[in-house]
Amino acid sequence: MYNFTILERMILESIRKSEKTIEQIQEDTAMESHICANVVQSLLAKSLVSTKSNKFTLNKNLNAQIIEELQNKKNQTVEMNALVRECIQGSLLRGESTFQFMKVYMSEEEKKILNAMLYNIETFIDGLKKNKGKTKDETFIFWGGDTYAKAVTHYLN
Amino acid sequence: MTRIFRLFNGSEMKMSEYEAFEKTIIQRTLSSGQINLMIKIEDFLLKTNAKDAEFLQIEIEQQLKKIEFKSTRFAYLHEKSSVSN
Repeated sequence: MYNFTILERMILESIRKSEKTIEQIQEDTAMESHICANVVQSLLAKSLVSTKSNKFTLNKNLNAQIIEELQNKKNQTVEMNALVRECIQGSLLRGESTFQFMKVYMSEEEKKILNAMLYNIETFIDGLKKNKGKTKDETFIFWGGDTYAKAVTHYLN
Repeated sequence: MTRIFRLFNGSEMKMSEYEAFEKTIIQRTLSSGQINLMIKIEDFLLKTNAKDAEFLQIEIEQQLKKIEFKSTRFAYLHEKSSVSN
């Protein structure tokens, strides 16, 4: 199993937008040059990307096993955990106010109000999907909520 | 030293010897904090379920890959990139 990190995912997303040279990938992702080169090298070794006239493109003929590995839910969970952890660390350890977390009690009526607001947020964010820009400038947005008991039950199982 | 010389020349190693070598190497290369962590990971693997063990494995593998990516082990593209800059 080839475990993808957020570094590989970011570069794959960058190349998916358009074929790029190594310098353009660096510029698009803001990754340090040697790290960017190492990640691209790893993607090349796995035949996920290929080179053509000094530019890197996504390999469109991926075999089923690699596609399965790319879509592996457990691996994606750990990848997402890494992103969420960095965002939470920003809030809790570095004192940034980028992310907010709260635990509150809500009545059924209040849950409906929150769900309506979340739906509006989701619709608004969906509308932003067509926007284009550099990969490094994309913004992470998390939203939603779940009950304490459900989270603890899953944590225990 | 004589024993090590014999091992390098193909002699078989007893299990107790292997464990003693392993223990010495670990004690000399890891800090006490790292040894404590290893003991806790061992304990965790003995007690946990398959799901949590698998998540830990993926997490460790991803952390190791991050370390590898941060190193300068793959020279080819890096050199190529530096030249063209």
